[in-house]
Formats: sequence, structure tokens, C-alpha cells
Amino acid sequence: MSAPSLPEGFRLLRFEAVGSTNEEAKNRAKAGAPDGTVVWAREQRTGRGRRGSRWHSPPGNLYSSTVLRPDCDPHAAAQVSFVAALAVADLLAALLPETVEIRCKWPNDVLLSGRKVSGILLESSTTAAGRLDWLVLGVGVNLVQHPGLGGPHPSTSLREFGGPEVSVETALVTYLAALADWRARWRNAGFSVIRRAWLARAFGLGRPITVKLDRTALEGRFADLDATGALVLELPDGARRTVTAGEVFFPDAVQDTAHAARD
Amino acid sequence: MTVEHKDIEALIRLFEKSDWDELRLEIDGLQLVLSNDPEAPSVRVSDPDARPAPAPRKEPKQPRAAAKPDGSGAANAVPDGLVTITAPNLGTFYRAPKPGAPPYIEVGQTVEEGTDVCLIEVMKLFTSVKAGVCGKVVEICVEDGEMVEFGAALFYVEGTGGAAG
Repeated sequence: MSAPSLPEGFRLLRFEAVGSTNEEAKNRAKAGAPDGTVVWAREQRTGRGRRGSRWHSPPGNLYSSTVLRPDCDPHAAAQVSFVAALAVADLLAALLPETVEIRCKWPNDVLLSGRKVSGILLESSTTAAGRLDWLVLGVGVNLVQHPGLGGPHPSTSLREFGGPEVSVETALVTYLAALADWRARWRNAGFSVIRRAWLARAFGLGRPITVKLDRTALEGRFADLDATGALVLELPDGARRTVTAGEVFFPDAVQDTAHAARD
Repeated sequence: MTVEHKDIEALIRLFEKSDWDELRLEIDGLQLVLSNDPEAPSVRVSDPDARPAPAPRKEPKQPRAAAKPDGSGAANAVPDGLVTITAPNLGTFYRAPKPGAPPYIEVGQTVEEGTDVCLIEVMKLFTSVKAGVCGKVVEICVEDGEMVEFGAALFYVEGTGGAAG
């Protein structure tokens, strides 16, 4: 197995299996790994999603975590969520037939016909002086397998949508090239370009949504993405509220759950 | 004991809320002069050792511990002798790395500048926040899972040195 040749600006740390690529990348970042260091594993034993939830990680799918050191404030670093989602959407668009609907769900899931095909998890740390120190961008893409369960976030894989049999290496290189491309646009033109591109791919814009926060839930209509990347929720009384954290559900998308709830 | 940028910000906030006309402070060779006199420079930091001065910094857009006009967050009076750990970004405040895990820090615990004190989530970016100060945590200002604004006070710390005391 030869090491894939990565786009300029990236260097590869390749593993057969790790606990979690994000954990590995965080440890490398803390030890000073430079911007563009990519941790790639064929398999994760303890892959993780948001707040410690498990991420199904058998061999055959893409598991990568990239160390980034953008020169920005900690609050601007969250914009990388959208930069990364667009890169994953480009990867999928490069591999799938044009008829497959590729959508981005706030803030950074990527869906094929409403079902989750990719998970993105960003972790960062500040310096003691309050600046952004490093950011680890974890990206998992279900190329050949997915959990296959129903539940709140039905999943799918590229294979299920007629994607060609591509190697994980090819997927990694294609994704990183797209990441470099979107990151350059973000750096050169700012978040407005990212916002527009993301809105063009947004899942459920204008539709009713439920946003689950830690203890409460908000219901309304998904009206917009604001200039910082926050979700703009229009409440039943017409008032608008920006949402910066929480999980988004689309109550009118239950048919997707039924479709995915087979073993 | 080095004087941190945030120590100076805390002093500026205290000064702005006070009815003092002028504050002159000298710690370990670093001089800080705050004055309400329009003729005087509003903030002057001089350092005879010619080390890189901790302030002013190159972030003119938003000061890190911006005082909120509505009285929330950093604008709350900082109790005497305490320093504040503020939120580096807006988002949801978590005391533990994941649900069910022990909190990063508890009241009474001693932190150092590089100690992780909490997580803040915004748009699925989880940022671990460093204390940035040394001392004993005397108060946790925010509930687990609560939204915090940029610059909001998260923890009060009783400094072990004299920098901001």
C-alpha cells in the first residue's frame, strides 16, 4: 500500500487503526504539529462524535483529522464548520451521479437525500492569552458502510447512492484538495463567500425545524444563516432568534427515518 | 509574576467603574498609568526591560473582555482581589469534557495559566478554554449548559500573585 500524495500544504500521518483520529490529532497539535498535519486511519476503535457520542468506524470509510492553525480569533474558528462541510460536499459531488441531492445541514452535517453521510467534529484550544492555539477538524465520510439504524439521524453511505468503488486514498486526497480550495476562499474573501455557497446547499431552508438545546427545545422555521454562521430561527410569533449551538431536527422529514430504519 | 493582558483589562474595567481620576501601578518593573485626564494618554504601559509589552495588542476589532452594555457578563463588578476568566467566544458552556465526565475544575481548586477550565461549543466547534491566570477558583459564574456571550465572566479566581490584587 503506497502512501497517497497529498495536495500542497498537507502532511500525512497514516495509521492502520487508532482510538480516535481527533484524539490523535489533538495530541499532535498539543505537541506542536504544524498546520496541515493530517491524521488518517483505516479504522477507529473509539471514534467519537459530538459530546462523546460514538461514531461507527469500521474499515472502508474515511476517517481523518486535520490540524489547522488559522490566524483568527477563537470565535471566527467556528466558521471552519461550514468550510469543511462544503469540502465534503465537493468530495461527494465529484464521486456521485448528478441526480443525487447533496445537502448541508446546519451546522456541518452533509446529507444525501436527507440522510447523514458525513460527520464533522471540530475541537480547538485557546492559548493562555486567549488566542486560538490550534483547531482539529475531524471528518468522517461513510464510503461503504453506515450504522444503518433509524433514530433521529438516519444515515447512509456513498455506496448506497451508487457511488463508484473508490479507494479511501482517493477520497482523502479529493477531500483535502477541496478543503484547501474552500479554505483559501475563506481566507481571501471572508465568510460571506462561504455563507453564500453553504446556503445554496442548505438542507431544509425555509422549513419547520426543532432545535434541541441542552435542556430546552425551540421550534420555528429555518429562515437564514447569519453573517457569523449562526442559524436564524423564525419563531411562531414572527420574531427571529439566532442559534449558535444545539441539534437541529426537521419534523417533516420523518419519511427519511422510516426509509433508513432497516437492518 | 508576570502581568497578563487580561490583568490589565481587568484593571481598566475596575478603573472605568471607579470614581478615581488616576491610577498608577508599578509591578516588577512594569508601569501602568490610567487617567481620566484628557491631556494624559488614556492607557500607558511602559516596561524598562523592553520585553514585548502585553498590551496594547493587535486585536482592535473587539477587546477580549468587552464589557456588555446590558450589564451581563464582563460588566458585572469583579469582586475585590479577584481576577476573571472570560469566554473567548460565544457559545454553550460545559464544565466537563463530555456528559458524565468529571468537571475540568471545581471551586477551591488551584489553576495555572495552562489549565483547561471548560469547554465552549459553538456550531459544533468545541473549544477548550485555558485559565490564563494562576490562583484558586472561588466562583463558577455560569451553569453547565448555559449560553455565554463573548467576554462573559466564567470563573473568578483568587490570584496567587499581586498582579491584579
